[in-house]
Amino acid sequence: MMERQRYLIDFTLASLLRRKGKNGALLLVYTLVVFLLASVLFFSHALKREAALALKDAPEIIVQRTLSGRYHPVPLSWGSAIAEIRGVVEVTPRLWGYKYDSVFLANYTLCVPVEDPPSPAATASLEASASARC
Amino acid sequence: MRASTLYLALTSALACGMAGFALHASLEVAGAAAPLARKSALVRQLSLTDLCLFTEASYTRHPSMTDLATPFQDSPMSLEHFPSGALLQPPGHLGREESAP
Repeated sequence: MMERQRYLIDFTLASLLRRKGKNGALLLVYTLVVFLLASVLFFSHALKREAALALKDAPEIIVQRTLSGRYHPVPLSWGSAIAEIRGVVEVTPRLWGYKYDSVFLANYTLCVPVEDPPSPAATASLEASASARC
Repeated sequence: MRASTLYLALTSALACGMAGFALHASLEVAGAAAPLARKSALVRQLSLTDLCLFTEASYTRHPSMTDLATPFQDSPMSLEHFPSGALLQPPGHLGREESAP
C-alpha cells in the first residue's frame, strides 16, 4: 500500500521536474505569498492578543473633556455626579499632564498613579531642578 | 536515492520544525506570564487605555480616546500633518451610525 503511494509521489515529482524553472518559480511565488500573508496575520493577531491580555484591567469608561479641540482637566466635582448614574460602581480620578522639555523641545505626557501620588512639594522641587538644568 | 524518499524526508523535517515552533511558543507563553502581569499592573495603576503603537499625536497614541475633531484642530480644512495618522484608521465607534434604541 505504502509502495503504491511512493510510486505516485515519484511520478508526480518526475512530472514537476520536467519543467524545473516554471514549477520552481511557481513554488517560490506561492511560498512568498503565504509567507507575506501569514506574517501580517500572525503579527496582527499577536498584537491584538497582547493588547487584550495587557489591557484586561483597563477602565471600562473614561470621561474626558475637550476644550477647543484640546484635552482639558475634568473638575473633581464631576465625579459625584457621574457616580450617581445607575450602573456606575466606582469613579476614580485619572492624573496626567504635559511637561515641556525645553532641552529636547518635546512635550512629554506624564501619567501619575492615583494612589500615593507625589506631593505638591515634590512636584515643585522637580520643576525647580528641571528649570535649573535648562 | 528515490525522489519520494527525499520528498518524504524533507516533509518530515519541515513537520518536525513546525512542531518545534509550536513547542517553543507554548514554552514562551509560560515564561511571559510574569512580564505580562507587570504590564497589567501598570495598566491598572495608571488607567492606561491603549497599546501605544505610535507616539506622535494624542489620537494615534490613544486611538480609543480620540474624536473626529482632534486631527483637524488647527483648522477644519487643514491637512492632517502627522505621518502616523495615515497608518492608523479612526476607531470603529467613531465611524458607526448611532442607532436609537
